[in-house]
Amino acid sequence: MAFDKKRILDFITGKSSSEEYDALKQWQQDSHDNIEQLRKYADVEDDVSTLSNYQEVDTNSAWNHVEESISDQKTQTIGLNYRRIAAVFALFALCLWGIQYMVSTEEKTVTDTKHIVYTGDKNQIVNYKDGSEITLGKDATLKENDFRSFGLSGNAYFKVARDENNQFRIIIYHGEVYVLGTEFSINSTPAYSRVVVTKGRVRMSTNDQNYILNDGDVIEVRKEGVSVKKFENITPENWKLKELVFQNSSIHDVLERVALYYSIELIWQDGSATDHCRINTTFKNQTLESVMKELAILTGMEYEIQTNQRIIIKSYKC
Amino acid sequence: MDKQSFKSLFYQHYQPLCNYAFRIMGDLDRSEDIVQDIFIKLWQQPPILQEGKSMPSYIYTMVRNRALEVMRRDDIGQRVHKQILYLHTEASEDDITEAEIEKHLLIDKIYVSIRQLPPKSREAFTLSKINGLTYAQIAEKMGISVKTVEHHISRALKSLREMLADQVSLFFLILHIFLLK
Repeated sequence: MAFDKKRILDFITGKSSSEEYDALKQWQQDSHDNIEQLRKYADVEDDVSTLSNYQEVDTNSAWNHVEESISDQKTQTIGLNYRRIAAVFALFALCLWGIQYMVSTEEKTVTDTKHIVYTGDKNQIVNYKDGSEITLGKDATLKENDFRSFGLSGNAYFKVARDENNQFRIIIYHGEVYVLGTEFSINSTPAYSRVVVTKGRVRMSTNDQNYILNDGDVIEVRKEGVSVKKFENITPENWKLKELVFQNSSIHDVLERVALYYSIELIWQDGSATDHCRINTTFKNQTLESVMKELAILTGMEYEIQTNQRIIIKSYKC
Repeated sequence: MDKQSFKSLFYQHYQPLCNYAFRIMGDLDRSEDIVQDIFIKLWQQPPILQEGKSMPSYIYTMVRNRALEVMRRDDIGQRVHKQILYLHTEASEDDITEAEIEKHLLIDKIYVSIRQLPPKSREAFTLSKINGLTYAQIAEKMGISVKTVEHHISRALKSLREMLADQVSLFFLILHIFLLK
């Protein structure tokens, strides 16, 4: 169902009737695209509304208040040296404890797999009862339907324990994935699904078609169709360490591989750009932001990392 | 950060930050309290920023999160606020980006520019482009002819274009916002 701009704006500003409100609430939950559209209208409404309700504040008087507070703080601290020394010791002890805690909880591990919605910053490892290990990325949702049978939204890396009597099954937005024992990554979103096999063999079923995928095979399913590509040197080890080695690679190839390793969608805004650069570099255990920053310095590329796991490549001058 | 840089940061972002918090909370006094409190803490305990993160991004994120926390705690329950809360909550785990900060500063600049317009032009422009009144309604409200309203608005646009001459993108943002309205 589609709604016109006025109805959406009424919804955002709380002016819609209760029937329209319910219908739009349902529409909003139907797909990620609808949420995006709503967000776009909300942004425009927000800009206009911000301007019409813009408040003038007395910055000088506010600064005087802030300056007074920070000066008071300085005066007080002169007479508090002993307490300060004690506080430094306490802080030091706390830091030691904190570092130990952070190291031990770098990847949180859980065993209850009935229904996990994960929104943390660090990866979460799920130790399944058959010995398999599932590493969930940020905002992933994993639901156990049955023994060795799951539903997945978002991205996850699977290290599946071999069991020839019970195949391992994952239902994703665009089909189903079956394995016996292997390692692979899945990124499943309403817009597209991607499976990357790092070790062994995987069967992906989509639109009544079956695809058998081996080490280094990547399948992407979108409403426009299915594509299968082969990549060299994708192994569980370098996947886990996010180790990307490039020798004489084009920027196009480099970005494709970065998109795979960081489970993001790549959008090329300028398809006609030339691609003569050859990249020789290695990334290991770096954040996506730092990899992209380095690539931008190397190639003069302009890009935008969006919150919905997308990178838009605006231009590059290689 | 030395005190002069801290003061510049405060002067550049204080009003946009208060308005940002005000948009979430609908209470200017509390918004100002939040922003001032965050600046005081910032001076007392300067944060260690992660690579690629800027101080303004850190401050805007802090203000957004604090305002949302106050909203949730007080359960300000009007539907419009719930919608705003929902839209913010969707993104509340992300840091505020430089582009978003830029937008807050642009809106502040637009506001300041509109405030500098001649009184009659400012009134006509605001009633038309921000409050959404027709030219006839404005004419009646201001006790002038429709033709004069048109004249005031075109003068306002001309003045804004001149004031923002070195910031073409800003002028186009104004047009973009008003055309979509």
